[in-house]
Amino acid sequence: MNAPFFKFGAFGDETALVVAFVIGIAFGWFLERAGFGSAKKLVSQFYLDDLAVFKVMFTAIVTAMLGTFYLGWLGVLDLSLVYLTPTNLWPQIAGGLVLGFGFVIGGYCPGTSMVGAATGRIDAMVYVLGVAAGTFVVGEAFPLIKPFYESGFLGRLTLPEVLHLPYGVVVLLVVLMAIGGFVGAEWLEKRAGSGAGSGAASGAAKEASR
Amino acid sequence: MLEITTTRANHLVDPSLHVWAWQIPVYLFLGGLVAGMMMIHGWFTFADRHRRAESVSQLLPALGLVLLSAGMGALFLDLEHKLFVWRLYTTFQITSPMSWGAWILIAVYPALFAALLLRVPEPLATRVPVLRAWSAALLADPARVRFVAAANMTLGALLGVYTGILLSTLGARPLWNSALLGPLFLASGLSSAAALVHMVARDGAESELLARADNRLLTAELAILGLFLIGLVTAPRVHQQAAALLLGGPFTAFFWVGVVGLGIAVPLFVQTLAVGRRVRHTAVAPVLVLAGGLLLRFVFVYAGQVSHYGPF
Repeated sequence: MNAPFFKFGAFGDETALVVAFVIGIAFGWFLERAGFGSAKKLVSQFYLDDLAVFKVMFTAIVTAMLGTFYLGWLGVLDLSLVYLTPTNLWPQIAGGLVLGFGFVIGGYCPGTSMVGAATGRIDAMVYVLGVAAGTFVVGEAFPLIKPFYESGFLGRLTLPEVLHLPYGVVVLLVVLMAIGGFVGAEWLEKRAGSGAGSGAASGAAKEASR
Repeated sequence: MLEITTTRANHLVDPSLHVWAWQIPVYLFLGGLVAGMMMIHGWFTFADRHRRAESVSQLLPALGLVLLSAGMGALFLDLEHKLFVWRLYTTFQITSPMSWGAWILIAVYPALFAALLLRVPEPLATRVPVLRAWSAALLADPARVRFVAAANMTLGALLGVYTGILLSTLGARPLWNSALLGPLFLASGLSSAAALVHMVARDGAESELLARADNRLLTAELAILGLFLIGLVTAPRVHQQAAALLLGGPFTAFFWVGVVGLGIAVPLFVQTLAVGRRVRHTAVAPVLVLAGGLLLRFVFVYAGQVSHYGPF
């Protein structure tokens, strides 16, 4: 057992930040290459005419899930040491809605706004300033919202625990859900008559033609 | 200072002596930036670019004077006995980097002013008409123009190197005690200046030229940083411990993420794509280069004050 590397002391806090930076830059690079530095492309998923965001992100989730599952199964990764954000049901639902509304209205999520800003898009830079301003306001108002922030605490939850199913079965169900989602997304895109085809590459090509 | 030297010079009270605050890195950054701008201006003058109406040459000396004065202001704020600053100019100590710096800074002002006269900005010429006459006298003799260009390049190089040598001669700080600090700060100052001039240049050819130059300078800076670290980790134990401040120690994230990652590697990559016409030029890369240059000085000044000879 030698992973997670940080938890097993392979490197300290400072080096962990450098590792996070490298992973973050790689994440940003692939988001940009997928065309996710453009607000037009990102909001297309809400109009159901280009679901590249849904497909790319779901692919990433399934890939990470399968990697985690198999590495745990092989004994390389100790899953009990992988950090999971504790569940606070109501504030996380509210936070998800706020982020969703912000995504539809502003055209970016926080990560893609950084990607857009890095490629020189003014709207993304304004969005990043908005994220910073919002973070500042929440920080300053935190004593007022703290009771709500801590409400609905359910601790560290995983789908196998909630569904009372074996881990492997949940993994299989998520994979099936992803395949169903991809088929459905293709159908929706064809129905919308976008002619976008599938995958991020064609999405990026479409973006380039705009 | 008296309290530090009499009662606090004990690693259990003050683990490290920290007497230089934000003023010094800000001054070192602005000094290096102006040094780079002077060298670019000299280069452009030799290439006769100062005669072109759209050239950024006419902006550089005025901007340099403002930025250098801001840097000198920061340096002045750091002085313990501000009223005695004039005493620096009553002597020249050949073995003192601070004495060298004080005189170089004084010499830089007339050099920048002479560079400004090569093409006086119109608003300034309107307010001070005599500058037109001085400018005409200067431009009448090509040898004088070449002298101004050479003086700006020489003094720019001296100023840029001096900002690093000021630190590297302080042998009590193992992190600074490297001959590569002078070239490193010079390369960083030149790179910052190229980024700034690339960003403000109205002439597309000049802007492109400086983006290409900046890529080479960033590459050189990266190489010098690598050699600097190799030098430290292969030196005696005290230098290895100084290097550890940047290699897993408390300044690791600032150094590798802020200076190397966001300040050099990312803008170098983005700007390489931009000069290759694969992405368009934006302000992102030059702004990152400038921020990285400032952070480089902060990291070196702060980490250097933490590095020291025993007890460990």
